[in-house]
Amino acid sequence: MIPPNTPLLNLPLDILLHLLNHLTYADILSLSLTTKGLSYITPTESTPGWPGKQCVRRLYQTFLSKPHHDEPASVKNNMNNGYCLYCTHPLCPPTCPSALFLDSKTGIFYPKSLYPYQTAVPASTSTIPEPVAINYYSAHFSNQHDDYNIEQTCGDNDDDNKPTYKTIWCTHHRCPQSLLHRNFHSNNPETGASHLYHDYSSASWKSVRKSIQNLYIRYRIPGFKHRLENKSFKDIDIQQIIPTTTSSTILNHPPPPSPICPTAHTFFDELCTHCRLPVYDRPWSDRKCTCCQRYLQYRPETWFMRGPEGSSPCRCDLISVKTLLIKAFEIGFKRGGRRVFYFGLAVEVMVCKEDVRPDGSVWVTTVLKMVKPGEVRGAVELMAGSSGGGGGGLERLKLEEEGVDGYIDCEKCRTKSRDWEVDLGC
Amino acid sequence: MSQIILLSSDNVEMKVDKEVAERSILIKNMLEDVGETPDQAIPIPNVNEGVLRKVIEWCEHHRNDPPPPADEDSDSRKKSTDIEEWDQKFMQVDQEMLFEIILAANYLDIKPLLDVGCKTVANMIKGKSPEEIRKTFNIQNDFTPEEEDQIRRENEWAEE
Repeated sequence: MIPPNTPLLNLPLDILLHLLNHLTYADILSLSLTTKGLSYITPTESTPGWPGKQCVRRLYQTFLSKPHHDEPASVKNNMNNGYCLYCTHPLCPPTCPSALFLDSKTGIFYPKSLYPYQTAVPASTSTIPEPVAINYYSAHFSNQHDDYNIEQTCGDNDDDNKPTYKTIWCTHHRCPQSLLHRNFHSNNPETGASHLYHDYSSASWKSVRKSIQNLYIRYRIPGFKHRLENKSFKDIDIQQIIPTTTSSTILNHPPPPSPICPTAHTFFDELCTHCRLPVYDRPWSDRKCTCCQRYLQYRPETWFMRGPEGSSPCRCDLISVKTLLIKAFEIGFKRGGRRVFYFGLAVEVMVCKEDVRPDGSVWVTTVLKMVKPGEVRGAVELMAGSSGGGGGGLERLKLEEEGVDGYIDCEKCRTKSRDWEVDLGC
Repeated sequence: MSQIILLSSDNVEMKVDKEVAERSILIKNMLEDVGETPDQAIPIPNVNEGVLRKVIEWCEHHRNDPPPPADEDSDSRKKSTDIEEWDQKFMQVDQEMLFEIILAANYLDIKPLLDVGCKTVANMIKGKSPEEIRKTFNIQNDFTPEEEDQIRRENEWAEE
């Protein structure tokens, strides 16, 4: 049934045909898939501009959302939590197990375990101004410490600063790879691609990406004194980012060559588990944790280590978060060249001691290790477009087989990188 | 310069220059059939006052435009984006008015205006996914999951 308030569907046939003359094959196909009332305009091989069978199939795959047959009924019933601002695909509810929230302020994707999804709201470009969004983190940890009262402990809970997210990517929705490619040259500011490009190019997201690439340098340096200092990062020699394992870490064998590729853009941050705010000033965050600052005064050397409960004056705990920059979109131009779009993915890591046996040798070191390697693997693949949500075709970040958690092949230097387990040299 | 009176569907009379009104082929033919400038208002039963005023505004702006070329090749894909700046601003109206203008242009046989209207709508469609189009035009998705599945199956990847 055609709703009466849809004038497009009530156009006389001759006008509609006139309108179709101004559309490409792909546009007509897209229009025909909107409603059964327009099915009859589905273009065929005889339609001018037919791009070929393969392209048509690709268009169908792009336009048709993925089925949700394998989802439990509770997830299905909670669909239609709004639409993606960029591709207008219906969004899953924030409770979707594989949800990655694209934070409005930072342009970083956070898994559900690192994002206060219970209070987060979807961003509306017209109603929520950018500065309101704030870099919040883990709800996961507040769930783990139910006896903590955030408001009492930190006194830093501001309802006005609700975290906002631009979209949710999950195994059911990932903006199509072709989103930017199809619309990159479009002058139409109303397209989702234009919104995405606008957000991606915004000063705040840019500064975060830039900061990530600069800040990670500081955190690459092994040892205790790797905290962020208020310095300009521009002049740091690239050599500094290659970690050097100290002799004290070696038991039976000299350390293997540095496994960390300097081109893998990651950095680490430490956040308060109560307020999920960074403990130091960050260019992209309006606020920082105040409670943990007291803790730092007590234990300046080991502040990043997760201590026993109650070890800090305010009973705060710290969570280590690593942010990866992942290539999410890539546009190739007909005349050569390409444009790559990177997005950050926040990953929870922990400090631990571990026996490592490279090539049969044994040595013990302190490493940062992923807390949920399986979840991260899925998130990385999702963001890289190699699984879920209709993605595909882009270069994969190759993760090793199950059981070798946290190893990754660097796509640039092709070394088998223990990228998840950064040696702190302590 | 002689003027004629147009009568909208809601019985509002509007005086316009004959030359302007003759941008409409319907009115032009009507006047030619009558043979002289009529004293009485010409009824335009399908167009209300608001829409008729917009149409007249467009005709006045384009009164000196050369007549549109004869029928173009219907197979050729026309560019949707080449809308004059003035026309773009003129078409910045709500969707209801936009489609009313298109219908009026079709009824009054003002091809260039119909063209501008269709281009404007085409630009609202161009590059969008079905879901984006639905959102733009308030279209309800009435495909059942089974029907979507069927379309999907019919167009699944296969060896060429």
